[in-house]
Amino acid sequence: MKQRRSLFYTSRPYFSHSMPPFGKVLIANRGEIAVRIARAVKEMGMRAVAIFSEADRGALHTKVADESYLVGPSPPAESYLNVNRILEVAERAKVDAVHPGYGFLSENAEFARAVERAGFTFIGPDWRVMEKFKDKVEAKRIAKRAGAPVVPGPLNVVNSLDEALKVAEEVGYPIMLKAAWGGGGIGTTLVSSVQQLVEAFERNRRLALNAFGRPDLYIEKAVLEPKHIEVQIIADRYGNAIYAYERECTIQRKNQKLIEEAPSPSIDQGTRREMGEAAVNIARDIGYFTVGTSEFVYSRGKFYFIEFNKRLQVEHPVTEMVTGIDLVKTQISLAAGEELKYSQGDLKIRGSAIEVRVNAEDPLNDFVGNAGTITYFRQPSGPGVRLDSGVEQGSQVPPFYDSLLAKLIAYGETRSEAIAVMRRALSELRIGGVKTNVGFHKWVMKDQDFLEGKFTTSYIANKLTQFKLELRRREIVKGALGLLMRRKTSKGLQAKSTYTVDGRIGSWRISVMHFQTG
Amino acid sequence: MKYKIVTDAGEVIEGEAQFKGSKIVFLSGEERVELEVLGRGSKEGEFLVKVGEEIHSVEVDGDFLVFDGEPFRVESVVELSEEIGEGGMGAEIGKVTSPLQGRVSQIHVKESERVTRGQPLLSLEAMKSETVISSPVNGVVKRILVRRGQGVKRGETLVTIEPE
Repeated sequence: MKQRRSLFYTSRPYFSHSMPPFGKVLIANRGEIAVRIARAVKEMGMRAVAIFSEADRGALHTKVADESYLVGPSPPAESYLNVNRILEVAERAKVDAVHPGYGFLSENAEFARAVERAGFTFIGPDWRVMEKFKDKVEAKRIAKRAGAPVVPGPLNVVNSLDEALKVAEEVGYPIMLKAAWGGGGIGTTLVSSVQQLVEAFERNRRLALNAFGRPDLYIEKAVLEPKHIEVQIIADRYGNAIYAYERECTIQRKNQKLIEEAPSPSIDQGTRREMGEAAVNIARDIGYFTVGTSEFVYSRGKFYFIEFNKRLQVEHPVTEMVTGIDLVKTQISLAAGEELKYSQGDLKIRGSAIEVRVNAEDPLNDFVGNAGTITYFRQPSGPGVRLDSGVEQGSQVPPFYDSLLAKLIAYGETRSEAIAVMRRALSELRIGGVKTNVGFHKWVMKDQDFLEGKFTTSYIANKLTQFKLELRRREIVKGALGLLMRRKTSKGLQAKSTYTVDGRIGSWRISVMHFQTG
Repeated sequence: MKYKIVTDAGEVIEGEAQFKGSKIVFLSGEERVELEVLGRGSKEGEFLVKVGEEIHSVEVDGDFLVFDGEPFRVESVVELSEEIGEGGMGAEIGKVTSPLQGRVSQIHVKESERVTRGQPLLSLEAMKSETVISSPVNGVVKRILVRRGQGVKRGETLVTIEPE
């Protein structure tokens, strides 16, 4: 009888790293993911090459890498999306492979093709495979063919407002109006009426065009009270494909994930296996390899395929924590042509992991992004804590890119232990200088519905009034505190003139002395 | 006395404060908080503050105050005098400022148009998302100070409205 091994208990390495697959890898990205990839590249004994825009001079990812090169001006189109400039840097730095990260050019088949044509290895699936997924509509066709359930809606893009209105009428409101290209919920809106569709159509086209270079939108029936659950796929070039279980990514704002966890607290073993197998079948159907993710919506015991992400996900760390697999190293090895060295039976979920996305954004003002300078930064650490950060003390947060500063990941033997670790880690994390959603995450980690796993993708919208009240109150307390401290200081320290430093209040230490003496 | 406190993260807190020794009563909007400095805490640089009935820890770290683990620095404190407080506050309400650094993607109103509270005035685009700026009051649009496509800074006045 074949014995089942768990990755946690086997002494055999997943891949032989005695010979690094490449000499040098260029990371065509920025922020925390560029740092994350550089770490994997270095651990595998290779050199990491970073690129940066004007706005990212001195950014953490340029320091963590072994080499870094200016790629262009601040706007993404002129830097991180500029294929020619990126390839020029790759030539100049004499790299062997290019890792696209997520976002930017990561799912752009033309980029993958250009990378290959220039003689480098693209760390991701083959561009021919990517092209099969042309867009999210085509992905739905593939999923349907592979036997996965899909959300009802025509398998075509809508090219005009008139066409959109007609399709929406046929499908029946509420509908989802979605960008056919890209990800991250950009250009995606829940639409409940003709009026809303009229308002959203041009706006979403513009947002999609700006973010992904394509304005195409499509329509599908909105699934009510959905949970968002996705399956991690790992596959090699030789037809071996497995699933590394699921991630629950239901806590979202404006269709962008904020909190993710593995395993999902919402599904049972049977559903876990069905979803996993559906995802593997999709990957096999098109000959997909490296790492990828099949996203599903889950509602009332049923799941539907929504899209396939042909890249590393932002939330990959929670899977790494509970399976013991390093997905970035795995991705690099598989892109280099290595064979998958373990099978489905070798994988096991152990414990529970939660990730919160620490964004420079204002939860009190519709989570709008907040540029600025990180003037205060303290990292949490200790057992079960992982911080994948793209910033440090003194970092600039430019307004040109998305607002993700860092991902804080907590691990525990059980979900409630992981939450306890997360609470402790959040209490250690300190970021000053820009508004962040740290206070929001602290609120969620105490919320009874979250603790019990009672949530849908409307969780944030439903809880808005509650957490805003608390966060608003905290802001007022901060104001009052600032006022009180200042008053004390000014009274106690008139003799010394260090009180005001360019309009800022200096030397708080003195106010403590004042309290000590007073 | 009325105050406007701005933190380095761009939080703007306006309200009326009454000081009573180490105690402050602060009224902002519908919220009323009562704060009292109780004295030093058990850690270096820490002291304890009573907020309502709860006791919170405040740490002093360089020129930062750390309230329940959240560091902030006060950038400016402006005393709004009573006269300006009344008229000035009124004028302030009519000034719609940008909450963020970004780009004007759409303008939904025209000068001298009547607007109601909550009506969208313009849309800003920043960090790959769109924010709709709505009118804080019922009134008439006096001036639109920005153009479509223009970059704006945080705090920059976008539109002025004469409240009704």
